[in-house]
Amino acid sequence: MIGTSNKDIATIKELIRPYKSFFLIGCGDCATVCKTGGEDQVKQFSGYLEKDGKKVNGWAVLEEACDLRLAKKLFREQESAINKSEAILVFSCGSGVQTVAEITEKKVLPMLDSLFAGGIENLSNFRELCSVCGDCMLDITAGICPVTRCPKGLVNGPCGGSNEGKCEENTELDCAWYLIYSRLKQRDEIGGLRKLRKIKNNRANSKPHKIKLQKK
Amino acid sequence: MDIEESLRKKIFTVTAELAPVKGTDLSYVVSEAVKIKDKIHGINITDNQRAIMRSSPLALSRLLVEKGISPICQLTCRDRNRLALQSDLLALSILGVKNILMLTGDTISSGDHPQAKAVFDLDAITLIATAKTLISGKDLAGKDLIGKPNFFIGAAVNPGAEPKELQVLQTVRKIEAGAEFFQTQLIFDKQVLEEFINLFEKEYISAEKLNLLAGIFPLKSSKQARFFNSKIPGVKIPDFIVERLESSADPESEGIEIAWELIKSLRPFIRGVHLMTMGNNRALEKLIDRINLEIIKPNVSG
Repeated sequence: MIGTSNKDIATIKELIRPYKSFFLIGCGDCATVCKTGGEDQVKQFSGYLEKDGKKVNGWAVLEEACDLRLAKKLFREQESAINKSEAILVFSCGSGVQTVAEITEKKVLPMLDSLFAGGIENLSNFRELCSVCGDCMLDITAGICPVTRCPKGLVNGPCGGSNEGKCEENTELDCAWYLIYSRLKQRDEIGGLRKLRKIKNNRANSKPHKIKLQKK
Repeated sequence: MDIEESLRKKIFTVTAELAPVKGTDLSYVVSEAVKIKDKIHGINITDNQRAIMRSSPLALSRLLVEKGISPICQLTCRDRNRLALQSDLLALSILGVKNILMLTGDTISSGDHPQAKAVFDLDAITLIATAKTLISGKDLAGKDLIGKPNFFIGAAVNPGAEPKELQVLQTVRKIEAGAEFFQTQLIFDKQVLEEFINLFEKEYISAEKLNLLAGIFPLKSSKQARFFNSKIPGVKIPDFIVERLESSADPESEGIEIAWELIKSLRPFIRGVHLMTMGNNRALEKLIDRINLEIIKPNVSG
């Protein structure tokens, strides 16, 4: 799940200031879970725009804003309302914003900041778990990702700032390498850690990635 | 005599530390180094310490070499990727620098450029291994070098950090990667170091391999002691020291005396000391003179 947060209100005011009429697009997937781009949020923002004297020609929540087919379908079905709008506001992660921007000449504005790929602890708590680095070492680190959970992203940690299982950068944060060490120790697998001298393959993370499934 | 030689000859080794200037005028720092050059075995040159931008340690290291002083050039992995780290290691050798201290690096957010990109392409362990690779005449891509460097490789250890087993493990990994001497984070309590060394010897090998220099800081006041206790991970200043400083009429001199007593008590466990006096030149000179007079000149080994 991609974690998103609302851009701050001052930034949003600045983004929409030059325009008078809008079409709003939300996302039914991650942004709905994060309560940043679901139906409630889109409707609420629509109300805010109208109170501000702006015109809202329509809104929709795509099942997934990053699905080009769904975006194209929406633009066919809502062609008239979208054409009347000076700008399109997208309440989704950057993937959704770019998918919409690809199929229109109209001004497309991101309403959110995309923060991380993560997991749902419960419906109010989301945490970053995966850095999408392409060089997964979770087999060696007892299922705990140091690239993500160590602020320095160290693959041979801990560093000299680790103390009592906490991180020097943020003393409320558990030291990821302390967690890894503890779990490996429990499983009697410390020998592997002693031998570990990993050098990261950053090429696995070179952008932009593409996946093409082979037709069988 | 430089640190490699003093450690090899088992002479009580003393190193100090200097930071390059944020700017181009290094004249004061160089003159400070010249003042102490004949009384110590090496001077660490820090590398954007605490992520505060300063001129590269390569420049100050070279200036010290030109004055006949032996620098120990620190390099961190925070600001450079593996290409730049190899380049700078080769450059150090070209500039006549042999002694190096390989560090992971303090966090970017603690410095004066908190929005900068933190690199950490390598870390202390793999940086040590990289220096060894270059010494063997190849780079990390396996290509042959035209002219090989020679380094005496050092690393850092924090004996007060918990759990101690994890610190011991990291230290062993650094030795196995090629580290030949260690400087510790600040020590204020002999027991902390003793426990670390006992665990190290129990788990792995003789502490001889550590070539350990204890990090020593002469405290100036009880307020400073309390600040260190709360801010530096793994640093534990015992209450009785804080009280001594509090009740002294001249806490600065008391701090120097406390540091000297600590050095004497640590002698069974260390090969020398790394004096991190952070600009307190009076304390630095007093401690260096006393060490030379009472430990080194009587020819008692570390």
